[in-house]
Amino acid sequence: MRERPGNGNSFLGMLKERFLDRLSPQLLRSRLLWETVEALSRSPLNRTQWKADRVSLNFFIRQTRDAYLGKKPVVWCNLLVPSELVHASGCVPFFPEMAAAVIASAGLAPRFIDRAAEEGFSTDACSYHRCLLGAALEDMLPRPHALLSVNYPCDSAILSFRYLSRLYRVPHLALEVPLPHHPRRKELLAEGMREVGLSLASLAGMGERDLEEGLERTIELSNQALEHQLELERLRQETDCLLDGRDVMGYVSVMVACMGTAEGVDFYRTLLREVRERGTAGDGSVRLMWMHLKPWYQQGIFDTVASHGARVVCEEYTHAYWDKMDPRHPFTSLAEKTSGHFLAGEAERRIRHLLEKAEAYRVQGAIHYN
Amino acid sequence: MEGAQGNVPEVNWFCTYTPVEILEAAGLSHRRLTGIPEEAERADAYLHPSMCPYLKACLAEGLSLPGFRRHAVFVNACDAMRRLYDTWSELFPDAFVHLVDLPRGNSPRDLDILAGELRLLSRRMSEYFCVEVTGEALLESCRKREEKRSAYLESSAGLPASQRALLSLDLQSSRWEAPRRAEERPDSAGGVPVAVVGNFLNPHGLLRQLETAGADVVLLDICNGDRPFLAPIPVEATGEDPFSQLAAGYLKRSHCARMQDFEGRVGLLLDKLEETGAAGVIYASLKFCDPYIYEFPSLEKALEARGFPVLRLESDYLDAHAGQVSTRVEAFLEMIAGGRGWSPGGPGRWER
Ligand code: SF4
Ligand code: SF4
Repeated sequence: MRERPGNGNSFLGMLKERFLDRLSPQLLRSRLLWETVEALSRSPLNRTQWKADRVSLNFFIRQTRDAYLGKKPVVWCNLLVPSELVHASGCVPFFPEMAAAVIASAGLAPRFIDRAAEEGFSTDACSYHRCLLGAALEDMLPRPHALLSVNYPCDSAILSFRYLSRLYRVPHLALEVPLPHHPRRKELLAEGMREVGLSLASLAGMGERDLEEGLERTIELSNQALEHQLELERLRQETDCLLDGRDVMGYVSVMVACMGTAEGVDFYRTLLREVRERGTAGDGSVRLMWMHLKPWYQQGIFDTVASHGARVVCEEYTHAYWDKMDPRHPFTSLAEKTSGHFLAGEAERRIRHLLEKAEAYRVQGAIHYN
Repeated sequence: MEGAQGNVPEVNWFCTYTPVEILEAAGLSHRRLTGIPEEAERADAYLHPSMCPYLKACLAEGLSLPGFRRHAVFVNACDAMRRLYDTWSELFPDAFVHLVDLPRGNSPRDLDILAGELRLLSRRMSEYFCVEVTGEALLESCRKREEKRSAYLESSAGLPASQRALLSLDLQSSRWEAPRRAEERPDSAGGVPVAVVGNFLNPHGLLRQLETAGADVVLLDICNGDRPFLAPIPVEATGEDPFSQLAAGYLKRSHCARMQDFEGRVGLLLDKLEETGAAGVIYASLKFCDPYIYEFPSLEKALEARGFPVLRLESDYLDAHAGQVSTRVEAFLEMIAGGRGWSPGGPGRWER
């Protein structure tokens, strides 16, 4: 079994040690907490797997801090919302499904899941959503100014956002991606993007012109990050590089939330450079593809995989699924990005995506986890 | 448009947002599939076990249908229905299998999406079945639908819930000729008046259990009950495109939990509760149905705030375990009756 250079959860472990007993809505909204968190993240004790992890960690700490401290209007988004739109509108995006994953990594999910059950949410609902609903009911999440959902990949986000919009008394903006066969699919979605963008900008006191300028900037940055990301994907396909799928699965958060920011570019650039520098594993491991989600709390399954001489070299959700965007046509570009996602529509699209990746990454087997 | 042995093709559908007017305008026979709940496990080979039991029962039925009766129109109503569409297309490649998108809101853009979908359905059906859907035929089928709606409202009054659900299903499909159960109409008055709110319930299962437990279901707000017939879907020869009119009608009618406008739905429901004299609400839905799972806490609060007690029941669609449900329902009905000075067997209906 290869030695892993750091423990991805060590930072979370440090936070748990210091704050878990005192965790409360007030603590999460205190400046002191965030100053301590930022100091800890810079501490030499916080060893990250890759240098790029530090870039994303700093980004998420800053964004989350801003959201809790109310420095900018907070917009809760589900996974297919293009972050470029929210960053451009002067708001801070918050992805509660990703927050649920962090909560689960910290071992706190059962407490919030129980709270959701008390409220009347059946245990048949998705555990991510029950966890985030419970956390919201306990006022542990940054309070939103608006909720923004896309109708894919699943119904849960739309439905829990609808509940949350009443809980927080804020608007729920819902983007509908028409099915691929609809003749006006992109045009209608682009109109929706524009409308939503203007609503978000107005929350931040911005006008249409500001939004357009913001989009020009975020789309430019997103394109730069995409170039590095695609290069990284090529490297992973062609070589036996050291980047392990169990870590890359966590980078879905970067792909979802950092696109359109300077940190997004920095993350992929730094990661690409480091992966090149570290060279290849050369151990002839069996190459596996991982489909769907990763277990966040108990991760022993990856050790089991490694003990059988196999490793995850390709994951379902971490690939760029869109092309370079045109900053002169931001809404159409964002509509193309979102509607091009392989989960937006019939299962055939997902199957096609997985087959393409399996071939490109030369995988010898696959694991589906849910 | 004939099957291999001269059989007339039949199109199956699953959700009341299916624009059956278009199927009728194309001259096609159609049927809302109810599935075979006893055989739902057959679907486990193709669908996840934790999935809507109604749709699993439908797949079980689909597997036993002859080829010319496997055509199906799905609505993109929920994740589960989209997955059944995927499976159906894969299993029955020779059948006409189509997915109609359904926006959740009621904005002009949502209307554009749905109207485009209806035109596309009409075109695809015309190509596959070699039929034509004319504007006149569509107006005529919309008029007939209104007739059926009136027939339901008339014939369902006073029917017990299980029979109302059967009547509703009859009238939703094209085979219907006349309200077949009008003459076997037992008077269900005398029980505790309640509303049943939910998705798709088994008329021979849970609904019958409610009746046996002493519930007089005065409002059956489920998608195989009163709900599809509550509001008209007006499509008229005004010169406006009938597909757009039809789309607008579907997006404006009384909604189920799947649609976005919760406040509108609650408002309508409260009006109906007042109008029908319901003293409580039984919120009964099939397991694994996300729209209802996520709606329940909000709806429960809204109803209780207006003085309507709520009982939550879940159904596996087969409803073989009647005992436990009956005990809970009886306790709920007794609680309502006790709190309102009503007693079973007392004179006439309970009055608020
Ligand atoms: S509950 Fe609504 S969306 Fe679901 S099947 Fe019934 S009508 Fe369709
Ligand atoms: S009952 Fe619920 S899960 Fe089943 S088809 Fe209808 S909306 Fe979907």
